[in-house]
Amino acid sequence: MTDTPLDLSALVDSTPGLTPEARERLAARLQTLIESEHVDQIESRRTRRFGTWTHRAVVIAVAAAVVVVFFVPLPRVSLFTTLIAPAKVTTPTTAPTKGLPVVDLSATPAGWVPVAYGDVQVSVPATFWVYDQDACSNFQTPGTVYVDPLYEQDCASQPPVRSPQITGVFIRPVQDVPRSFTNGHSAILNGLRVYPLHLKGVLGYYAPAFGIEVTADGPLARSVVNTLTHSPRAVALSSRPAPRVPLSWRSVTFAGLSFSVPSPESPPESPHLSRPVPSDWTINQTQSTPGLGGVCRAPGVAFVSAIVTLATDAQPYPIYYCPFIRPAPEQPENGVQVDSGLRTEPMLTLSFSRHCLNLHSLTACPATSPAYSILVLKVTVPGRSKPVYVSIGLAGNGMLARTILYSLRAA
Amino acid sequence: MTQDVGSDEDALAASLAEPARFAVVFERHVDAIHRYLSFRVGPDIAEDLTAETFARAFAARRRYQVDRGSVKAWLFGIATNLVRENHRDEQRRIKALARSNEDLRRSTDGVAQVADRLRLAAALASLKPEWRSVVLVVGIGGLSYEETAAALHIPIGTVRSRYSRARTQLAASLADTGEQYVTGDPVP
Repeated sequence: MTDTPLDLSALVDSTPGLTPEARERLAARLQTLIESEHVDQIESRRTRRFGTWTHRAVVIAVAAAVVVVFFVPLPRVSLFTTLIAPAKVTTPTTAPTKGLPVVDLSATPAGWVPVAYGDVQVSVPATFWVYDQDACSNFQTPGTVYVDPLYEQDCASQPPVRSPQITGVFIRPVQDVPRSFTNGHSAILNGLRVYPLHLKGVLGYYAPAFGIEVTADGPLARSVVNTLTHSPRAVALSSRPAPRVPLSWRSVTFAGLSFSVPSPESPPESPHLSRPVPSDWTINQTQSTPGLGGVCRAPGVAFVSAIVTLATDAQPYPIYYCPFIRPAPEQPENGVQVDSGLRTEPMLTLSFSRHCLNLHSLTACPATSPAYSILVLKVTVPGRSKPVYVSIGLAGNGMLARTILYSLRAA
Repeated sequence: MTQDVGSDEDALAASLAEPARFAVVFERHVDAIHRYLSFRVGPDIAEDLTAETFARAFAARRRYQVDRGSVKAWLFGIATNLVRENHRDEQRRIKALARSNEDLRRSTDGVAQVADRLRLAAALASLKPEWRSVVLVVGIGGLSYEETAAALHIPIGTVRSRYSRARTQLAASLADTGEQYVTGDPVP
């Protein structure tokens, strides 16, 4: 450790300062607040005595309402059945095949989007917000998912603000079986062995095979936690025998690697377009570092379309100016990206598992975070001094990604 | 709008009875907070977040505890929380800084200085947000380690370790990007 300060003067000097006009605007905004509080103080003094009994009456009414709403199981009126009653554990709707984990696609309702974390996923409405490795941002309407909320203690003194109408979902890695789960018996939920959570007002499951717990509270808590199932990543990385590559697929060779992908589909014809729309599984070669995922979307979460990108990473990013985009759950997509340069995504810090795959004389180490709907592998290719990064989209039931992965070999 | 009433803590305490006294805190720290936010989320959003920082501080001033750090540290803590809530703006800001040809065109500095700036911005972008907060609160906000610990609600040992790790990663990133930007070394 060192106490020598980092020299950021170059950046500080280039950052525009506060203009006199901006300072005036800020001072005026503060003045408005100050004046409104001053008025409030005067009003408060006037009404303090008068308000005492009114205040008590309101408190009693609210308390009575809480008791009725939460603890009296009246049909259609009470939240009892959605918040406190134990969740229904469904039987698997898709039987496991050949020992592979199964992504229960029927667990995701129409219009909902899976949010994967490692080998499991839950699905949420597309209108939810998703914060990745962020514990401190406020809850957002109608619901917010906190995926691996790191450093929760950092915002303990100013926890995220929320209202009871918002559904909050937390997906966390856990080292030991949480005490609140140990009273229950295990069950099978959408193909996963889970322990239901026993905690008043909060629903959730602990998946011991993956060391992950999912908890939720709020109006849609029950519906969300009951979508828990394997993620496509679990299928892709399963150590079961390699799948056969369909005869219709074609082989791609790049950066010392060879792999198979589906043949491109015919581009859709449209009288409104002067050139055909790029079809799935077309091959795009670039010298730029394209990054993982779509431009102006959360980096590394999901591909935008199922194309094959072969990048030499010889040039830095082009410039993009992005508007504010809500951190929505991103629909997973298939696709492949091979980066033969220094890295896959300068804006991501990827960590790689020490448990690597041996694929036809290649060593492929999967990234553990944060690209959860993209499987990133650091591949050591014989004869090359630096690794090649292979990224595979994790969509659907994961079988397509698994077939691409196991087709990897040295060219 | 200003009235000198001694220390920040005195001004804050006085503002409980006389809200106008809060203006002293504003006048003393608005430039530093705006500069910090301007770097983190860009000048367009910084003005709004600066206003929000002081609005939240004003609303929460009764809960301020003098034994938990200086008023300056408290304000930087609020500003950092706002950056967290707008972390995508920060990512875009730093990415834009790291890529901006506009910077090269507008700058009166030499190409080497601008290139240094772009590399440093790119390296900062690669830091974990928690590490970046520590580096920028210290480096741009000018807070001590103790004040940074109070601002970010973390132990001082955590501040030191995050700063140290960030420094190591920045050095490594700069070495990497140096290879990419300066020599243009293409593909292995």
